[in-house]
Amino acid sequence: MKRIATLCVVVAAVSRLLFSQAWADRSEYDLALSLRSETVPANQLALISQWRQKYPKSSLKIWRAELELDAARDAGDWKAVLSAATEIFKADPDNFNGSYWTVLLTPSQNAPVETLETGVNAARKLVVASTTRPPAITDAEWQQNKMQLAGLGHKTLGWVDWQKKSYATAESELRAALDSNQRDVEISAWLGTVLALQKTPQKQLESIWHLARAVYTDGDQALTGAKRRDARSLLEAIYVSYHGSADGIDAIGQQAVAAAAPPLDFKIESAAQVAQRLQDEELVKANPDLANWVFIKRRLQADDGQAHLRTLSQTAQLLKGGVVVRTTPNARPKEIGIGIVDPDLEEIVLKLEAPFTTSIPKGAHVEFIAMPESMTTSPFALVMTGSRKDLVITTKPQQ
Amino acid sequence: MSFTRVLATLAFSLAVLADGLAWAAEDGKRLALIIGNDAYSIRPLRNAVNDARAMDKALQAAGFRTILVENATKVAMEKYVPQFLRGIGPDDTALFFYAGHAFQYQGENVLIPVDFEPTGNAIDARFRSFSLAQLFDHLKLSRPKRAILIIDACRSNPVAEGTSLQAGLAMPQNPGREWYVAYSTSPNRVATDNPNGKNSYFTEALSDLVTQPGLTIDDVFTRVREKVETATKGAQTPWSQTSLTAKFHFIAPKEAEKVTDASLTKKWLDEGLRYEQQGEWQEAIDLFERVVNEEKDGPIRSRASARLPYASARRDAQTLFEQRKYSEAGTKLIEACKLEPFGFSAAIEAADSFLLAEDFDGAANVLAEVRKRAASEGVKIATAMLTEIAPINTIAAAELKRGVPEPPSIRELFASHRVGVPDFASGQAYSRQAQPVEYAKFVPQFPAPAVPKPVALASAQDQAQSGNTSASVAPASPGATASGEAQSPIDLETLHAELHSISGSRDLVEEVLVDVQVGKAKSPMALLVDGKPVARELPYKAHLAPGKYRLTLVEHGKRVREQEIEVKNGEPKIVDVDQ
Repeated sequence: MKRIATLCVVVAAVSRLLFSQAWADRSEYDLALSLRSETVPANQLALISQWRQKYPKSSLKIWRAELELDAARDAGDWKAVLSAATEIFKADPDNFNGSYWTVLLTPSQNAPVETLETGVNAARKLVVASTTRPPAITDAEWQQNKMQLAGLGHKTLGWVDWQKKSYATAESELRAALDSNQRDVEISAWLGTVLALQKTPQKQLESIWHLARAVYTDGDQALTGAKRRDARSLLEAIYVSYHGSADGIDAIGQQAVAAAAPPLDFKIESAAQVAQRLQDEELVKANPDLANWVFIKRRLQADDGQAHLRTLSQTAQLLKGGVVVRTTPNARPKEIGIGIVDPDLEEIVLKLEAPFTTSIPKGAHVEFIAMPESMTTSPFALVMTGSRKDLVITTKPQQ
Repeated sequence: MSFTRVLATLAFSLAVLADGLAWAAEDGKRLALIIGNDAYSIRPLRNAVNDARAMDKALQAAGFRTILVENATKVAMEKYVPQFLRGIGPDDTALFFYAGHAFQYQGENVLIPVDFEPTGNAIDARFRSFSLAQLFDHLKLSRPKRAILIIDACRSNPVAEGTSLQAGLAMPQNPGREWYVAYSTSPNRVATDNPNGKNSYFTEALSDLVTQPGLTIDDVFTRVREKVETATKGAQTPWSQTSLTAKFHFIAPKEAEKVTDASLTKKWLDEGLRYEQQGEWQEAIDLFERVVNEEKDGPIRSRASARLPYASARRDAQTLFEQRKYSEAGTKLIEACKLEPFGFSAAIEAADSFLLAEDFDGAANVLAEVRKRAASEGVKIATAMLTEIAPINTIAAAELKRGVPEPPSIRELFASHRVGVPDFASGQAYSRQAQPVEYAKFVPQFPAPAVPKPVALASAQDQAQSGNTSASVAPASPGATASGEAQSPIDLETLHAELHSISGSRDLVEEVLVDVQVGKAKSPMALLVDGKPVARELPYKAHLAPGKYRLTLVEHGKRVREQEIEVKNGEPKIVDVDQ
């Protein structure tokens, strides 16, 4: 008895399904038939418009929207494609055709941010649906396209977040998109842009990799002409803003083509680092003694300064170009404060094993060999120990 | 014949057989008849024979087998034209070039042989000459793959004098399909013979361009037009008319430059479908086959390929019907109906054929199918026909008794449409060409970093000696950025102010700058002065040359407010930015 009841329910459901896919009358069939024999997409769209006006509540409206989507696609009317796809998706969220085209067209049709909700829903649906092959799609089609479907869903979600200026969320979606579909270099371009817009040096550095990959990739997957030129202009601006000039951009581009993500040790000299390097090179040429001390001091003031001190304290250091800032005590001093960068700023505290035989006037020029022992960071001072025989007063201050 | 010299043989030129021109052979033969007439008894020409020779050389280089006739009499023209026509096959390209005198008579173009005897009577003149229309007609019967007619004959002519004939040539009245017709000047206009040159302006340009690889015939004549117009200072504009549906290259592009023109194959497909609707089946088949041969795969090829069996069945049925083999025609049309179940015309023609063959059962069965599948109008026609034969045919009577059946389901009607299955290839193609992001608009947010401060090179010793204690080298921690921009670029995206000078009174002898404080904004905002970012937030004190400036408030890339300010010498100024 229970089986019979179940069978009745099934039969009723099938009947409803059959009934729901019926022509309202022969005139509706006539319209569809004329659509079938029409070959010009614009005329097909006009016939579908007539069909929609005459039968607004047609039980075949998903079919009609699917046919409209095809005709609009053939006519190159992408707004109409999006409209038909949205209609399909809203009527049947499991219809892959509707969700696919809604997701694909959401970024490019410049819909206002407030109206992007359908695109977001369709994209989420596509990401979930991309794990299971819909029955209407053949296995071969599925194998060929499933990875790009998940990528497409994440890409559109990333784009929507980007438009809402939720850059961190956009970054996360676009990273997921890139994981799913590394062949789509437009994802790299978008990820690069979103990273750059977060305006931190580390993100800016990574953005250069992704944009370079998008711009320098050739072949089937390359960005098309106008897109590529446009993306290149942004890449160059970000690169110059970071590095100070366009030098080396081609090498980065060639490197980026090979991998979707930068290596862990990926580095580009920042403009400040380039300037510093040039300054250092200039300094070494112009004043090697000063350069020697400046480099030591810089390493000691860095985050790993204490570790560097341990290394440094293994060897005696010859320092030249010092000026006596302080002596303690004044007569036969045992401790001398020395500045090298600035004659008024004590940077080194030299402790002598035995007091100096005479007093040393302030401003006297010295050079010495001593062992680094310890340091203070605020104010900075390197404490060194040495023998008085290794301290040479090179000049005396002018009176 | 004394003026006539036939210089070419009927054998294929060696060039055609050369490996480098194998593409020409693939497209069928290329044949050209070239006539150049100078030696007229009145108004002889200087360049027509040279023109013919130049074209002979150029066309041979383009893989044409040529027949060159210099100073052709009427008899010679009547001899070599048929010889040329006889050599043309259905896959061939036929080219006719004529340089000499010609005239138009009642809209018909007529070529003048060198033995033409002047006459004051237009009718006599017509019969002493060679009709171009006649050549057109015979060429159409030869059905070459394409025909190219080039007439450099619009010079002022001896025939028009003393008659009422109009100068220049008439529009071609009866060109065929896949033809290209070119004149050295526009219809009804007269061309010049280039008195100082060896060739006419037209042929000089044409013979040069024909030998350039990769140019389509349209490219060639566009450039000829440009060159002739330039040479004649606009007095002569070559004219052409075409019905070619495929690109034709005199010399094909190099392999690497060849491109598949999808729009062209789409055009062939559409044209084939139009021929189908007009019942011109052979023409439709020709175009579908061309698409199939040209495209390796893709939706256009699939559609053309799918139409071929149906169009072939219809063409065969048409042939059988014309041969009065009605029963066979009906059977062929039933084949067509199976291929295109909703093809109403095939079904009605099948019913007609069966009726003419007195096969009433066959007709009734077809009409029953029509009542099921056709639109309301077709149902009415089929019902009327069934009503006619019902008295003598039981099948028809039974069908009428059953009533009009329900139409097929939409799934059956659009059997090739797969509901819920996206066309991935179209989607990918769209993605490649769509440009949802304008990357360049973000460029201003990433300005070039400021120039680093000059380095101090003096040591403490040097400074101690010089007494200068202000300079220093600031040690930088590794990885730190010296420029503010690299560390944190100025945000111009949401809101910022821009100050632009409009006019200035800067003193170039003595630099005078005025302190201008830009400030009092309700929200934090950056400032650009003459396009250069100078501050992340306001207020900001700028040193400006006296003059007029425009202060603009920019929100999300749009200018929301502007104000003009004047900076005067000796007057420090405060400018508020109110939103």
